[in-house]
Amino acid sequence: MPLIRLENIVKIYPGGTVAVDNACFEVEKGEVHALLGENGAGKTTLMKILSGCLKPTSGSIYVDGRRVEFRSPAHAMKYGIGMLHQHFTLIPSMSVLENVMLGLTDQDVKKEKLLKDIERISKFLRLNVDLRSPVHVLSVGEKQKVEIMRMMLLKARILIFDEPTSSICGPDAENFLDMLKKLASEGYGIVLITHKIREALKVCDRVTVMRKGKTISTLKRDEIKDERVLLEMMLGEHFLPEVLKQPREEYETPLLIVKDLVVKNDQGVVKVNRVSFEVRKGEIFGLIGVEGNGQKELIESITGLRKQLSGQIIFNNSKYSSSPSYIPEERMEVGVAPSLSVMKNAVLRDFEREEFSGRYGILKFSKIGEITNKIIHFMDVRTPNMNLPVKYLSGGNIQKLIVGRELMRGSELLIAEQPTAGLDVRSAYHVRKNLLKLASMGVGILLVSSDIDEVLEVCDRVAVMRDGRIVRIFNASEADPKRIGMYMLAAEVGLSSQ
Amino acid sequence: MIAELVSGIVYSSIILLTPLLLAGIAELLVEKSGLLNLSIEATMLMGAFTAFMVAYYTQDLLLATITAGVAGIIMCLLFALLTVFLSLDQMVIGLAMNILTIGMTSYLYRASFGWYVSPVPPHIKETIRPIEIPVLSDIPLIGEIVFHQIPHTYLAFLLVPLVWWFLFKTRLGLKTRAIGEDPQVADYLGINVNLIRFYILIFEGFIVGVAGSTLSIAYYNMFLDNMTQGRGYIAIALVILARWNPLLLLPASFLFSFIDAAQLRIQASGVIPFPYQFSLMLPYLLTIIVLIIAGRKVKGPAALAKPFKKVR
Amino acid sequence: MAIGIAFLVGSAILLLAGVNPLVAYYWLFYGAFSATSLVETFVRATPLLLIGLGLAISFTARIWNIGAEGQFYIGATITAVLGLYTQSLPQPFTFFLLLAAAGVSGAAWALPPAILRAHYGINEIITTLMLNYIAIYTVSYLLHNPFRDPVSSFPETSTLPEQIWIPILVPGTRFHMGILLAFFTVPVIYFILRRTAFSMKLEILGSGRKTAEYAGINVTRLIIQSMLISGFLAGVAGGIEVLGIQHKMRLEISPSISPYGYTAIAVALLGYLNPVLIAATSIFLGGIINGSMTMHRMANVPVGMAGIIQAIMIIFIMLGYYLEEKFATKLLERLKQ
Repeated sequence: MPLIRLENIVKIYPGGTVAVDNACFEVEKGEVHALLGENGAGKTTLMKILSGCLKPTSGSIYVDGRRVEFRSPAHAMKYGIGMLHQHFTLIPSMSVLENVMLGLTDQDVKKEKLLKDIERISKFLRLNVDLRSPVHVLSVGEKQKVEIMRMMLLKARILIFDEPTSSICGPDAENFLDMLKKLASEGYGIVLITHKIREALKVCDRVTVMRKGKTISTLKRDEIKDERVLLEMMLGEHFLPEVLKQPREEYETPLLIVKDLVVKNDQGVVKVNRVSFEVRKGEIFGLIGVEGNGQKELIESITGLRKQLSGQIIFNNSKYSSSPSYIPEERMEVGVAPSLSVMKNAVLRDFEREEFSGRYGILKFSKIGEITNKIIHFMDVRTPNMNLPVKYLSGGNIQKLIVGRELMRGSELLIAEQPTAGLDVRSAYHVRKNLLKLASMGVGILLVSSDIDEVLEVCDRVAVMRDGRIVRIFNASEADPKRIGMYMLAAEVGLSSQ
Repeated sequence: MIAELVSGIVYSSIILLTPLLLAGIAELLVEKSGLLNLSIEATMLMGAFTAFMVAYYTQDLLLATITAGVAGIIMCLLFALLTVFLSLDQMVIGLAMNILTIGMTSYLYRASFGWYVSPVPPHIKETIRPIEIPVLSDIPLIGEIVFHQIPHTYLAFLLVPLVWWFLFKTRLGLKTRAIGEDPQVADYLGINVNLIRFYILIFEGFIVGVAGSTLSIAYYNMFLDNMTQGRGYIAIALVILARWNPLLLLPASFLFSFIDAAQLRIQASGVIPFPYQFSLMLPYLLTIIVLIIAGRKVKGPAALAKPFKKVR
Repeated sequence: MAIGIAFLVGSAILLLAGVNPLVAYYWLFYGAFSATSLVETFVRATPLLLIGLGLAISFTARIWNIGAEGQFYIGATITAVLGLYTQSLPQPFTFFLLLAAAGVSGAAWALPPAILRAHYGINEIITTLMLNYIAIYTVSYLLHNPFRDPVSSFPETSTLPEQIWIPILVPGTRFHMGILLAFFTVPVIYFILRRTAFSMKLEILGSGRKTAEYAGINVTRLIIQSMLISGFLAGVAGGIEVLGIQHKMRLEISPSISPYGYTAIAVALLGYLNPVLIAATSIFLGGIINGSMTMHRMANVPVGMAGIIQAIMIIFIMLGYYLEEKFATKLLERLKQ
């Protein structure tokens, strides 16, 4: 009997999006089960249902053969189901020990026993941190391990990992996958949510492929002879070709010059340390790095949201003296004003231009409506009408609105942070295609991403950032995922292999 | 002579400090759980009013203090209903409740005693008396000043280490801090955010209600319209000055009341003549100065004053 | 709906005090909206309206200026003091000059908390509120000492010369030109809040500081601007009250049962920050203030009633927001499916 079984799960979000459509899934004790699918295929939603974060619209969950209904993640945890999300569920200002203790119920706290358990698990996970240090000083990998430790202390039997290697790369990712195998051999049931076929094949005992909310098929590892079978299952008949870079005119004119930039974060720590680079007209310049290595602060200071300590940022654009186009990573907190209408958000950054508010600051709603319509059609934003407050749109539609607005602003420089995050395959493809199109029209693009594949797919040059410095700038021709991954990691890996 | 003057000032500053420290320590705990309760001004006023009414009709000061606490709890229950369970804006609700309570108390006061308040307003014959702590009060100088106070003062001093211990040494305190930093994560980990906030608000209601009672049945023997005079807001400013640390709240509020007591003494002595209005406005000026010194770019609990809605 | 509930709760409180609510409410409305008292209702509504309109601007940006009471007092005092010395200037000119001075001084009183909020992120609720107390004690000092009318037994200035009073429009009443001026401000603020880029800046700031910075708005400047505008209108309201009604500065210029500066917060919130609704609410609450005095005289109901009714209404309006949002979400789900 499988540890858990999901039967005919359906999830319809408010707003009518069918995220999971009649999906079935099971996990055995001691297996690594990969859940494979493109972004937006419904993997995360399905697993959030299994871990009690979301309520299914219909369908049933069985644990040890008995039907259960989860009221909350904590309730699911009582049945031994824990999930490691892409966003950490740790409180940064609190210590490791406090964070671990937070999830425990009162009866399992006996301090001596707890400390002993923590020591044992730390050894098993090879986690070596001071329990009293606050979580925000830990590396991404360490944070992951703290979360795993918490779930183990809670006596989880099923561990679900949502794209765990997306924020760690190269050798670290390999180690992480080894750890998953080790956990499985200890008897845990492991679910690995991923969109990377190779990663899935490396560790899994079984693979379930999802597409458009449906579970397509479940295969044993040794039944899989050819990766392409999986690829076809993932993509279906709507096989999207890789976005093709076409040879473009090469310009030498730099649009953005950053020289010896030094920036501190809110805590006063230097996060950007003498960084210099330039983005030229008509090129897509990729910026990649493990989260927390200064990319965020760098972009914030380029876009004027954060003050620089020293160094220079020079914009060389002739058309507008105003700010460059900018797709921020935080959509709801930065990218839109949630309580304002779709229409007002469509001109969020340009409403003071004479085009929209005349010479005397009086809004021209007909003009604003026109541009809103253009954006809506261009990006296929689904909204009942233009006067609806943006907060009632789905996350994907909000992202489309932001991307559309920034792509159509007509600036000569575009800064895009994770522009395809949260978009379905088709929309993400559309965005990438348009980035290339803009570049061919002479726009300079600074693309910040943690997705190596995406960066390699569209960029002409890729800068790798680590510890606040740009450690290497690759030309597209010489870059491959492995080498980029190595540069993203700390020096301890050694770059002797190059 | 100087020593006497100073000990006199210290003695009266401890008196001034009591309602501020009581309200402050309770508000500190509430803010640690991520709520900003501006309505403690109203809660305190309601406490002062209730204590006076009960004391007036029963002459029982202990009963009056306890009912003041209960009245405070009712105020905080209303705040909890609107902001915790219905996730309404904490600042707006706090303000509305303050307007409500000023009107309500002055209405009820006049409903009981009539509109034309006589030249001698209704008052109670006895107020809460200081209690000497045996042995400790015999310590020269300090004993006189510190251990010869009303019980409310002892309660305030006792609560400071108690709240600290609760926040940093207990499981529930850990959870409280967690929901003040990130209620979403706390909720995910199975902590009942609203329930803990609800309990803490009940505690705050009682303590702040009692703080109000010090005004009407200990320092004065009557109730005056809006007699809290912004003390609730001052307490909030003191929490910021203490950087949300219970142990710092004591020196912070002492410093505040010491300056106030000193200027009152100078004013009363007539040595340096200045208009009494300036003396009255000093605490408010001081509060602004406190905020300027302490309120610049300090970070409170990360989720402070942000409405939390459970999403599932 | 909110009004209905407020009155129901009010009835319960009245019953508790042993008063027949129907009799009380009769006098409340008689005092508020009968033909004879309507003018007085407008007299009360005028400061509420002006202050409320100003607050609508800062509240839209979610800048909580609670200091209108102090700004009103300062504006009124400056008007009276200047009025005592500007007798020689020709009319309309004096009138506008004094009101401008009132507005500027109200705005000046709002400036320190504005700067503290804009540059240092210091909570403006507490600072503006503290400044109310400081303003009132300062005015109290001025009225007791340097500017006290030597023959009066109250802390107040001498009566201002008649030629600088705002002209009365309906003889035999207190209906003066300032009331019209206040109501002419409604369409102006309405236009500003509905059609201008400035209002959009306020709205964006209201939805989040980060978004506002992203949108390229100078946030510090906008915070200061919005506070200054609301301070200006509160100051003007004080000036109109002095020149149109009191003709001198008194310490009790704002009714103690329902101070204008605080009641205007209720006006702004109850009016959903919409100038037209704010005008309606200010008339309504002005009526309640007058009516509660009549109610007190005729039915012996204490005047605190006005405050209670307002506050209960605010709370239920907030509940209304909540239900509306829930309802809207539900409706959207239906629409999409």
